[in-house]
Amino acid sequence: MYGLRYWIRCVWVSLCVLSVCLADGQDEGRAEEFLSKGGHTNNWAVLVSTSRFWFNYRHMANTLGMYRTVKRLGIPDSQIILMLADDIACNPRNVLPASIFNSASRSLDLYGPSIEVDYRGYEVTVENFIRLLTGRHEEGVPKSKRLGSDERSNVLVYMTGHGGDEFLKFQDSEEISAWDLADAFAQMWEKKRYHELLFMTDTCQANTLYTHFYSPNILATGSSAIGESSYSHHADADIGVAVIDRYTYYNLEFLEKVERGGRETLGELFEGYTWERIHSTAGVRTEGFARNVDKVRITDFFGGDVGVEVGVPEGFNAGEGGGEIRVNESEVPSRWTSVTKLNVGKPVLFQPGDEQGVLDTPKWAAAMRRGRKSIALLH
Amino acid sequence: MNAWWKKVARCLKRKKSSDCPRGRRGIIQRKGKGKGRGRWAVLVTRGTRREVKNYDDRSASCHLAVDCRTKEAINLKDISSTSQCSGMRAYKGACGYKGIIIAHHEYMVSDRLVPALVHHLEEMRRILRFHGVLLPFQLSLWCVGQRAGTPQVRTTPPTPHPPRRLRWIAMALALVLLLGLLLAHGATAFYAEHLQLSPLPANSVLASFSFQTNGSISCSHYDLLPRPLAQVLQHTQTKELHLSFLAGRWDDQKWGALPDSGHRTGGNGVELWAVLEAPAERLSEKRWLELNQALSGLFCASLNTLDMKRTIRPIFSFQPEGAYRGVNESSLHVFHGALPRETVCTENLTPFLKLLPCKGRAGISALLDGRRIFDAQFQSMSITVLPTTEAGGVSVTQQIDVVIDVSRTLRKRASDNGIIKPRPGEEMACDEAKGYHNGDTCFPVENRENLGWSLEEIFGKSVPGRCPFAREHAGRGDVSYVVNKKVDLEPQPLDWKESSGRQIARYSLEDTTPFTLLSPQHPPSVAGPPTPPPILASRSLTHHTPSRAGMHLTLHNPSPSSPLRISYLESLPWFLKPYMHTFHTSIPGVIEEMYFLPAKNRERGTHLEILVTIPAGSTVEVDWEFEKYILRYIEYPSDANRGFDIAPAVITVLPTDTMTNDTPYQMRTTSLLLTMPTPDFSMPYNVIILTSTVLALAFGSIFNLLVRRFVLVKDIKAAAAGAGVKKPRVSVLKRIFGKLKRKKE
Repeated sequence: MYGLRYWIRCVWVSLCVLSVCLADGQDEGRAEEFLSKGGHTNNWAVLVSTSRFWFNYRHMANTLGMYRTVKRLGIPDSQIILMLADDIACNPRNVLPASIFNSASRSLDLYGPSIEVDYRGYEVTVENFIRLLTGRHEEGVPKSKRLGSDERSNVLVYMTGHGGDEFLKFQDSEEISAWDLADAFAQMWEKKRYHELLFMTDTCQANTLYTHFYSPNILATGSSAIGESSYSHHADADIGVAVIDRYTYYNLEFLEKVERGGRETLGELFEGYTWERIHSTAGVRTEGFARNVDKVRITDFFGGDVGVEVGVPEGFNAGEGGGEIRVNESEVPSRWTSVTKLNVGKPVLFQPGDEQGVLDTPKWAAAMRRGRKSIALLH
Repeated sequence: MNAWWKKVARCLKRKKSSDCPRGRRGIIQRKGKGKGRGRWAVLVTRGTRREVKNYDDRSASCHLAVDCRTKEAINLKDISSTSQCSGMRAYKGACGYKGIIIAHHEYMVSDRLVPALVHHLEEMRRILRFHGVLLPFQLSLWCVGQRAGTPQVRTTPPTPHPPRRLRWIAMALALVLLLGLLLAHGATAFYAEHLQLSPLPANSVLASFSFQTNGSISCSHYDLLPRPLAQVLQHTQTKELHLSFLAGRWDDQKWGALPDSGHRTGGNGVELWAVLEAPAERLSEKRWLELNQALSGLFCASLNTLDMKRTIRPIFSFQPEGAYRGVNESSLHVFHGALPRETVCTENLTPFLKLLPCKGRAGISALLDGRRIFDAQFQSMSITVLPTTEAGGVSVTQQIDVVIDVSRTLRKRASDNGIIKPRPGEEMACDEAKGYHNGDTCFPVENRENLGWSLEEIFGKSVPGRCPFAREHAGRGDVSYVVNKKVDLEPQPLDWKESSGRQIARYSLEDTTPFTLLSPQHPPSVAGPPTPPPILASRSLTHHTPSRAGMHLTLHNPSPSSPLRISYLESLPWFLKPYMHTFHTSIPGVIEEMYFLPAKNRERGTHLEILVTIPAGSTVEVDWEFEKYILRYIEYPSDANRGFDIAPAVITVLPTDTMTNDTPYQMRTTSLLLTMPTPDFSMPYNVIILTSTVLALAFGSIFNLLVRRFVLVKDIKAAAAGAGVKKPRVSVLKRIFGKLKRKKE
């Protein structure tokens, strides 16, 4: 009745189903192992101040405080998208032109000598923000205005402005809703535009903004619960307005102590969110986030250094001439036994006769035996 | 392997020399039908026949095949777009065809370019390796010039070897060519910087920083020319670019004519005009929009919002200024656009400095600190790109002019936190001639003397030394100080020169020695009077009503003897509709010519250009009225109540027969702020709420009337008692339908 082709097709389909089931089982184990580590290879930050007008100076200062921190901890300007809804630094009202301070002590000029603002003024709109996140730009939009993250990127999204129950105002004329954000992040996940995402927001009723998130690997935190306002911390009498909000102030106070490559965790940061300091109920949403926040380092989101351990096979000798070893991402073995900690992309230089460590991956060793010195590079 | 590859292989194996694919220069060949997305193959070999032959064994793996889509990623653009430039020969190709480029010994470069080229090749190799392409051959360079000793050029001729004598001739020819190229290169690449300090009356000082870079954009090596800018120009076929950022107002009554005849000073906010080359109009518009997008990314400004609604094609006021050779004039398109609302701040200065070879770390650019620059009374940043006479040559001039209020800066410096406090009474200079002057009533007078200052005081630091890339400019020196009468400067200048009645002190910078300059306190006659501007103009809005308003323009020719011929350019937003029948001038017949392109709603703005001759010593007043178009709800900006900015008008003094050699003077009026009829933006919300309420009330009551029946309570009680209701329970609707039914029956 049925031809040979039919039976072949049947066998083929059942084999496929079987292989998918098997793969699932394997993946789970791998995923678990993978998730216990950071697993990201690059960091991006989207920092948004959504408020226009001089009296919202503090929102600009909040955002620039974050900008300074991520830059200090190693995210380059090309991977920071900074959106400032109004010109505060060169505003005629600013008694200290081209400077913005987030403390009355004025010890730190946040505007600095080399700032790059990617979206400013009227360009800070809900549309542009969602386009940025989802990567749906018009033709010809320059690279500096695009979020070039991938499935190995940890993305920090920091937003500040005036908000309410499930919305955040942009420019005093439009709003982004909690559902807009949730859908944008979901699209990002589907398009492999993040590995993990930290959503941080400082606005009134901020915690309502993350209530609808439904995509995985998002850690969210906000400054105040539903029905609560977020307050400013203090004002500078010479500038004449409040210069920073409480939630951001205490975040920055903690972050200032973190060094490049520091081991502080987000859990420690969240512990500092008390009513006495913030005057509102700061919230943390870990639902859907696979890792324990007590093990997530601050630098996983606020830093740009990816600590890479590079090992060399047992008995490897760089030879008489010395040489250069670079490790390919696909060849990073699961188990390291040594050696040198490096910044991303920098090659390890070996002096003649150097022997740097022990590594027992057969694939690696075999390659080395074949005389391969250069193993390509790690992102 | 297809037939062509076999041919190459045969050629390399020297089996059959006639099979060698030949190009114009050595073995170059393009493969395929020319168009379409093909694959690339690049082979760079070491240069001798033997080595070429050695490759042959691996030729299948050593040609690298790169899909066009990844062309940008692997940076092959540099190779593909290069033709012949700055002493380097490479081969031209485009992504459009399949091909092989065999370049043997083909990088003949000047000594200076060697490091750049090595870096470039290494970078290419690295990138290729990243993409999984291993090059089983070596990249080698053959250098001529000082480092390599006697210049040697050895061409590796395609088979067969020419006779020895011919080889010598070829070598000599190549040598001549190479030297020529080297010389040409030497003449092209050039960088110079200059700072001119001119004290102005009323205690101000004008600091003009100018940075000039010459180079070639057809070349893939950007040793001095800013690469990000050059690539944008190349991509959009922009021949000429004038981009300016401006904040503050030039007070021409106090400070005189604009520096540089106003040619580097744009209007308030951001102004851009450019000359683009394109065969068709539509393509030129596309390129203009691409240029704006690219510049917006480059300079952190909202230039991407400069769409066709805000763009005009000027007729009289802007003409191509550079040297155009062999360019068809009809393919040149001039565009102009302005963003008067755009702010200018540190984020615009940062990319500006990054384009400079010394990037603000050495040379005079080290003085450019945003906190000082944006604290000035007037600041203008501009970038001008002009084509030069050489093939692909451009000259990029970056200019910053700042007018610094010396007294304010000094007082700010003296205060402990940078905030100026009011001067105590005893320190104030009072006008004692006033009748009411006594111990506690003071009419303050301006300081008669111009205060002394030093570079450190006004810029916060001294020049850390010379920028090593800068070529010394023989005539001007690195820093100059311009006044009307000589003063005692510290340190002593190299010399004083006189030029058109002004005294110029010249300084040159040392490589690593910091430089500062002390200008002494001097009477106002040293700084002034300034050069009077050839024209005074102002523009203002008149008789506002919500829907109509007028424009009033005053043009004054201060010259007592000669008339002035000017062009006046007005670029108005589309929602502002001039009534041309109201156009009126105070002196009839002064308008020589008028170009008027009316606006189209939401498509383009109004473009008005007039040629006016202002009689000697007189003032021409021009008035016209316009209507304000009602905008749609979403067309209002987020701060609509602030008003809408109207771009400054551009006034160009046209050369008359007697002054043909002078650069035409150009100035801008200030921008205007127009109040538009602005709705209460909460109104739609209120309307919705109100209508919904009314609807709900109306609907509710009608619905109740239709579906409910009102009965007396006692009837219900009676019904409950079992007596039954007198009438059956029928609603009004049923009753009506019942009646209709009955009628039908």
